[in-house]
Amino acid sequence: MSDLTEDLRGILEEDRIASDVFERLLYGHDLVSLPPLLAKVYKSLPDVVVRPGNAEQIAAIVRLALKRKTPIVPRGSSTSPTGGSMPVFGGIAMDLSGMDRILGLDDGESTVQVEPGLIWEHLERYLAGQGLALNTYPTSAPSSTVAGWVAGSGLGYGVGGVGVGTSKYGPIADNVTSLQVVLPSGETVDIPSGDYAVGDFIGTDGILGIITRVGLKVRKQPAVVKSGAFAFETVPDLCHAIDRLSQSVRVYFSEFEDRTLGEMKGSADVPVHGSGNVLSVTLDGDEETVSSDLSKLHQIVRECNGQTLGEALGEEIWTERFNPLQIKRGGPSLLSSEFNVATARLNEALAGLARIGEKHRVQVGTLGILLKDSVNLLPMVLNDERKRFGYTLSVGITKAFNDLALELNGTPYGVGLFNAFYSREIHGARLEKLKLLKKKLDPQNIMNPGKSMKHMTRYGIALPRSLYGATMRSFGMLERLGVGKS
Amino acid sequence: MTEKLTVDEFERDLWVCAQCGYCKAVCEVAKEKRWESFAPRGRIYLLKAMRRGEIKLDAEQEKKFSDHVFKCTLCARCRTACPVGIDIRALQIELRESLVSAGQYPENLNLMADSMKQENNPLNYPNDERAAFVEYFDDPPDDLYQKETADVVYFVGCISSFSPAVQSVPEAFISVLEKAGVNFAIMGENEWCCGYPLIAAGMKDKAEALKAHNIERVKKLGARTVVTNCPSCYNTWAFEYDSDLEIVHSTQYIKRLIADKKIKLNPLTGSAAYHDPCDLGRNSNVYEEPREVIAATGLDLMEFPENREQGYCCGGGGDLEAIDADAAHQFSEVLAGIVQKAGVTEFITACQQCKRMMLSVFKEKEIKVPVRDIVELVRDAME
Ligand SMILES: Cc1cc2nc3c(=O)[nH]c(=O)nc-3n(C[C@H](O)[C@H](O)[C@H](O)COP(=O)(O)OP(=O)(O)OC[C@H]3O[C@@H](n4cnc5c(N)ncnc54)[C@H](O)[C@@H]3O)c2cc1C
Repeated sequence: MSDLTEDLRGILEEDRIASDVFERLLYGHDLVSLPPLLAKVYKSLPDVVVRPGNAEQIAAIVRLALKRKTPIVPRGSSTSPTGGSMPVFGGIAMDLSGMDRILGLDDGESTVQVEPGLIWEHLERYLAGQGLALNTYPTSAPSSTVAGWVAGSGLGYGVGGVGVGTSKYGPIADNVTSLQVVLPSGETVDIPSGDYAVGDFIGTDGILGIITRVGLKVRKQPAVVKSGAFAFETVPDLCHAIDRLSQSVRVYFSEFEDRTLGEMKGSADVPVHGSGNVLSVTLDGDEETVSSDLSKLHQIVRECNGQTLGEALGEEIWTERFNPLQIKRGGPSLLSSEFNVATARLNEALAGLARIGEKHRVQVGTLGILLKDSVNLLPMVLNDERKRFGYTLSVGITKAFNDLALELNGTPYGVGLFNAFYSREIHGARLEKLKLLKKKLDPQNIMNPGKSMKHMTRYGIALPRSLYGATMRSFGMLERLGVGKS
Repeated sequence: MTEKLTVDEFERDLWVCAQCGYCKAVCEVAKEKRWESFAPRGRIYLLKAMRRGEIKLDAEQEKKFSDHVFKCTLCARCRTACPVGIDIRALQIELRESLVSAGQYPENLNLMADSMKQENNPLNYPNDERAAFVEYFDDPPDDLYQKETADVVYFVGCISSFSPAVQSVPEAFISVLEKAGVNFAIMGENEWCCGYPLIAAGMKDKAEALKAHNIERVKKLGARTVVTNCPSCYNTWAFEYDSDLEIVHSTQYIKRLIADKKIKLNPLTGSAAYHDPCDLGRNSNVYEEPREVIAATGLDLMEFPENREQGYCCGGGGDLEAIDADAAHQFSEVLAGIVQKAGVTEFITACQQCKRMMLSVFKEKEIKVPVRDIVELVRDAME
C-alpha cells in the first residue's frame, strides 16, 4: 500500500503533517501518565499527526482513512483524563485545536457558531466584549476546546460534560443548538437534520465522527455575580448544607474542598483557603434575586453550623476555579478518578473515600462540584511515578473510587478508554443506541476505535472490568521484577 | 546529548507538570506554530520521555529540540498561566545552558558572545562610542555626564545607547534627571553590557566578568544607587548581580522624584495605553509605578484587555531577535493587531526595546499610533 504520509500530502500542506516520532510522541497521551508496562498494551503512538484547517480537508482525510482502514483519533487540547484522545491502535492523530475561529452570533444574539478547536476561555472573553456570556464551560476553560467538551462523555451519551454553570443551566447537551459533523463515511452533515438530533453526537468520545462546527446557546451577561466561602467543622454538616442548598437556591457554581485536601495543599505549599471543609458558592442574576439567594444561603450555613469566611475569599476561590490540579505540586504525580453521586448520598461517599484512604494508607483529598441534584467528586491521591513499582500498584486505587461510586448508585465520570469498563453504567440505556449508531455509521470502525463502548487493547482484545484491579497488581509485580525496564 | 539535557533543580517539575496545556494556550510561538513540540508542555513531555527511555534524540531531532528551546522570548507568560507553579522561564534558561554545554545552539549566539568579548556589548559597536549619543544633545556639558563621583549612576543599557531609533529615551531621562537636580553620572565606555543577553542565551558564565566590572565601576564613582530605563538591565542588576547597591527602574525613580517634589508636571490631556514590558512586569513584578507615573501626568490610562501578568510580549526579549528575527517580528505583529483592535490612541511603555519593536511594526503596517517611553512622557510634561 502507498505511504500514508505521502497520501496525506495530497490533501494537506506540508506543515500540517508530522511523521517524526519527536512530534508523534506528544500526541500519544492525555493527562494520564500510564505506568510504563501498562502503556505497552496500547499502540498509543500515532503513525502520523495532522492538523487540518477546514471541514473539506477533514472529509478528505476521513475518506482516505476509510480506504486504508486506518484509525483516526480526533483531539482538541487533550486535557481529558480518560484516554479519549489517546490512540489505541496507532493511526492518524487529528489535532483540531488549530480550527479555532468564532464564526458569529445568530438568532438575535442567542447563539454563537464556532469552530471545534476554539478554546473556551477565548470564547467567553469574546462574548464578554459583546455583553454576553456562556451558560456553561469546563474548569479547564483556559486550554480545553469547545468540541473536546462536546464530544467528551462526562455523564454519558446525550448528556456530556458538567462544569461551571451546569448547576443552573444544565450540562453541555442542554446548551448545544447545532453541530456540523464529518461522518466516518466522509459525508458532512448539519445537525439537527431529518436523521440525527444534536444529542446523538454529544458524549460519544468522538467515535461517531469529527465535529467541525458547534452552535452554542449564549445569554446576556448577568447584572450581578457574587461569591461567598463557608467552612464546616464536620463532613455531615457540610453535606447537610449542600443538600439544603440544592433544594432551595439555584446556584450558578459551587464547589467544596474537604479537610484532607486542604491539609494536602498545606503540605504541598499550595495556597489554602480557610481550614475545615470549605464550601464556596457563586450566585448570578439580577440584584434582587442574588441578594435574596444570599440571605437564604447564609441562613442555611448558620443552621448547619457553618462559619462564613467572607466574600473576598469566595472571590478568590471563584478566580481559582480553573486550578483544580494545583495540588499536583505536592506529588509530583496525582492519582484520581472522578465520579458522580446523588447529593443525598454525598455523606456516604465522603465516608467511603475516607475508608479507602485508610485501607490504602494514603491521604485522599476530595474536591466536589455541585450539580442540580448530584455532586461530581474528584478524590485525589498524591504519588510519585518515578518509583515505578509503587506507582503501578497504587494506580489500582482508582478502581476503588469507581467501585464506591457504583455501590452508591453513582457513576464514574467520562468513558473514553480507561473508564470504558463502565460504559453501561455511564451511558445507561442509551448505550444500545450508541452501539447501533456506531455500527451503522462506522462499519469499518475507523473513528476513534477502542473507546466509549468497550475497553480495548492494541491486540483487539477487550479487557473485562474484573481485570482492572488485578492487572495493576500483576503489572506492579512485573515492575518489581524489572520486566519492561528500558 | 540526550543524557546531558539536565535541568538541575527543575528535574522534579518535569513530573509535576500536569500536561493541562494552559501554557500552550498563551504561548505566542505555540499559537503561531501550533505543534505540541513548540509548547512548554510538549518540551516537558519530551524531557520526561527521555528520562523514561521512550525516546533518544538523533542528531536531527536534537537540533529541532534546540531550535524550539531557543525560539522563545522568555516572556514568561507561560509561567503565570501554569497552575502547578513551574517556573517555565527559568526552566527554559536551564535548558539553554544544557544545550550550550552540549554545543547544540544557534550560530548567531556566537556572534553575540564574540561581540561581548571584544566590545563588551552584544551589538559589536565600539564600546568607546557608548556615550556618543550625548554629543548630539543641544547643549551637552563638557564632561558629557561622565563625572568622577556621583550619588546615582544612570546605567543607560546597550540598546538605548547604540540604537538611533530609541536614543530619544536616554536623552529624555537625562533631561528629567538634570531638571530634578539629581547628582548623577553615566559611565560611557566604562559601562559594559549588564550580561542579560548572555544569561538569556544559556551562557551565564560568560556574564561574570561583565557583572564584576560594572559593580566595580559604579562603586568607584561612590554611587549607592543604579537607575536604568532598560527592564532587562534592571532585572539583571536586581536578580542576577550580587551587590549592596540600590537598583531602581526609571519609572520607580520618577515616582520618587514626583513624591519628593523634585519634579513638577503640567497636566497633559488625551489618553494612552500602557504596555507592560515582560522583564519589568512579569519578570520583576513592577506593575504599579509605571501606571502611577502615567496617571501623574494627567493622561487617561487605558488598559489593554490583557495586562499586567497577562500582558503580551513585543518579541524583543530572550535573544529571539538575534536568533530568528522573523519569529520575533511575529510577536510584534500580534501586539500591533491588539493595539489596533483596542483603538489605542498612544502606546506607552517603559522599555526601549518594546518601543523599538513597536515603532518598526507600526511603520511597516502604517499604524499611526505614537509610541513613547514613560521617561519621554514625563520629560514632555515637565515644566
Ligand atoms: C484543569 C482541568 C479541569 C477540568 N475540568 C473539567 C470540567 O469542569 N468538566 C469536565 O467535564 N471535564 C473537565 N476536565 C477534563 C477535560 O478538560 C474536558 O473533558 C475537556 O472538555 C476536554 O477538552 P479537550 O479539548 O482537551 O479535548 P480532548 O481531551 O482532546 O478530547 C476529548 C474527547 O473528545 C474527542 N474529540 C476532541 N475533539 C473532537 C472533535 N472535534 N470531534 C470529535 N471528537 C473530538 C477526543 O477524541 C476525546 O475522546 C478538566 C481537565 C483539566 C486539566
